[in-house]
Amino acid sequence: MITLISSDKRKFHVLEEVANQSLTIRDVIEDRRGRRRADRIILVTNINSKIPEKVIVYWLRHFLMPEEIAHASMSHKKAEKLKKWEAKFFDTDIDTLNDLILAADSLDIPSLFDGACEKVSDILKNRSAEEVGEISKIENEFTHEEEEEEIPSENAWVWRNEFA
Amino acid sequence: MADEVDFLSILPDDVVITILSFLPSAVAVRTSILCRRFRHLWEASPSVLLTPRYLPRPNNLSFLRMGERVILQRHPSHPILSLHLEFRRFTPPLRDQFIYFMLVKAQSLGLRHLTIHESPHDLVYLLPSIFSIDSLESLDLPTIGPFHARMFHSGFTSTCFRLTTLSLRFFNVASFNISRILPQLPSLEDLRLEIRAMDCLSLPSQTIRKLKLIIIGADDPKFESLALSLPSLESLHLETRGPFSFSAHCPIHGEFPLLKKTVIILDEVHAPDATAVMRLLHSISHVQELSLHVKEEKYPIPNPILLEPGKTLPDFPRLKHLDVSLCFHDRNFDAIIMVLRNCPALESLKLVHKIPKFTDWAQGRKRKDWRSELPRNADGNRRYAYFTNLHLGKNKKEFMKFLAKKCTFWRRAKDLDV
Repeated sequence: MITLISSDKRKFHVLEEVANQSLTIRDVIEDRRGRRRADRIILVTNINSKIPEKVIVYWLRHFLMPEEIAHASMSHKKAEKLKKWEAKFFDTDIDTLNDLILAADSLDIPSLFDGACEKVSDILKNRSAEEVGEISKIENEFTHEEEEEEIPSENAWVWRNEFA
Repeated sequence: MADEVDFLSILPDDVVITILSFLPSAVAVRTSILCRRFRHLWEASPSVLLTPRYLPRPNNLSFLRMGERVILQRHPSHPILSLHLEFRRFTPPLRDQFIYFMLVKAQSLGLRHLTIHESPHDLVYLLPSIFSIDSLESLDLPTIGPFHARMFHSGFTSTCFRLTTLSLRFFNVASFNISRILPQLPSLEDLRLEIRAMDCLSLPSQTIRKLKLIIIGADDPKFESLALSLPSLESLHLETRGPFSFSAHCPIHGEFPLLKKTVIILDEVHAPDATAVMRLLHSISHVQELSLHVKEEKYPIPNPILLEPGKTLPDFPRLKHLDVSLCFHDRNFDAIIMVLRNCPALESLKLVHKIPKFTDWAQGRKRKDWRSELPRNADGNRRYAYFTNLHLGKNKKEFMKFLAKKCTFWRRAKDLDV
């Protein structure tokens, strides 16, 4: 059993085998193998407590149902189930997804990272640039001329319905 | 405002590029208007997906502009690792030259994964240039018809020395053309092949480890021989769609000493095909994991499709996991019991009863003939039977009891013979 501590000082107890899905944590555990129990506490900074909950839920699910199940047809059905579950899991607001990406990046969990990135790209896919700007709250610091003339003419085929 | 974090802008560049790489190129380019940082960020995305779907006006001209901007004008410091091309309703003369230029440029940028969706009309002129991209690791091509396949005639050479994954679909292409491709690909490991049934086919390769063979059947021609000389094969997926297309005396030639896992999916099998199915099972008899799915179609009376009376049963000395779904009417159930007696190493078993359709195709079917003979399970029905850990004491006993069940049909047949 190892303990994770989030940035707002909440503790999460996780089985080692489960937490091993994070490559960062696995390395830390490997480094500290054979030491006292106090060392089995891992401080996870820059992540608030809501995210570890989600990450641990994700771990547990993947721990119980590893992706590469030996059985041929069985794995197909299970993979389908897992897909559905993941779709539900990633169906959250964009801030949570953002934090999940950061957490997955720093903890090095490739499948979670890819899944969250894909979900974000799905959100962006069917929206116009203005809408994306609104969702992502990115401040638009282009000058008026740039926005009206320069950038649209650079890639006219994306913006305009007709070519001049 | 402290918790009002800018989404996307707090993420590091490489993470944003990962997100952009999931997007079709047209959408990724649109992010250039978000802010200064994003203006040229999309150019670094290593995966390019060109599709007319997300263009404001999906016509030739805008597709051309897109290809020009995203690929031809790409800075040499940004490699393209994966390229996905999708064409829809584009006039041929515009396309093939242009695609050729895009491929040449992509090759110079180190292209590794290429997928082409929907056949461009003149694929035949593109195939030589596709098969000369030496950095390619995976390739997925649209359907190749007899017209296109003429380039596989003698003289076809390929320089894809690193290609490991290949997915091909053929439509009415002569078998010698197909067999010519494989010797040219020295590191191929994973092959997915979709073909129409033909007289004979041989697939020689020293390196293939995974084969997925999908056969689209017809009543004629049927396979007279299928030669798979694949000594490194580990996983085999054999699927037939439509009428079963192996003739009764068609064996699979070839030895697969490393074969571990086999999936066989058969569509529309009837009584005369039993011998062919048996031969199929004989040729893979030393497999460790077998998954067999059979559909019986069109016939009003249940037929034994696994076994024929008087023929030898396949022996599965190394089989550990077996997964069968078919209609377990009394004949098939008896057959499966006989087969299981020949599997000494079995660890897990999964039997699923597939109820055939009672539609116009098979008028005169009576439900009672097709009733499942599986033992009643924990859910109180006879639709499936699972057995796990068969090599352990208590389960083994239970399983032996299951095996000792009556094989009424075969005994009756024997009695009649005597």
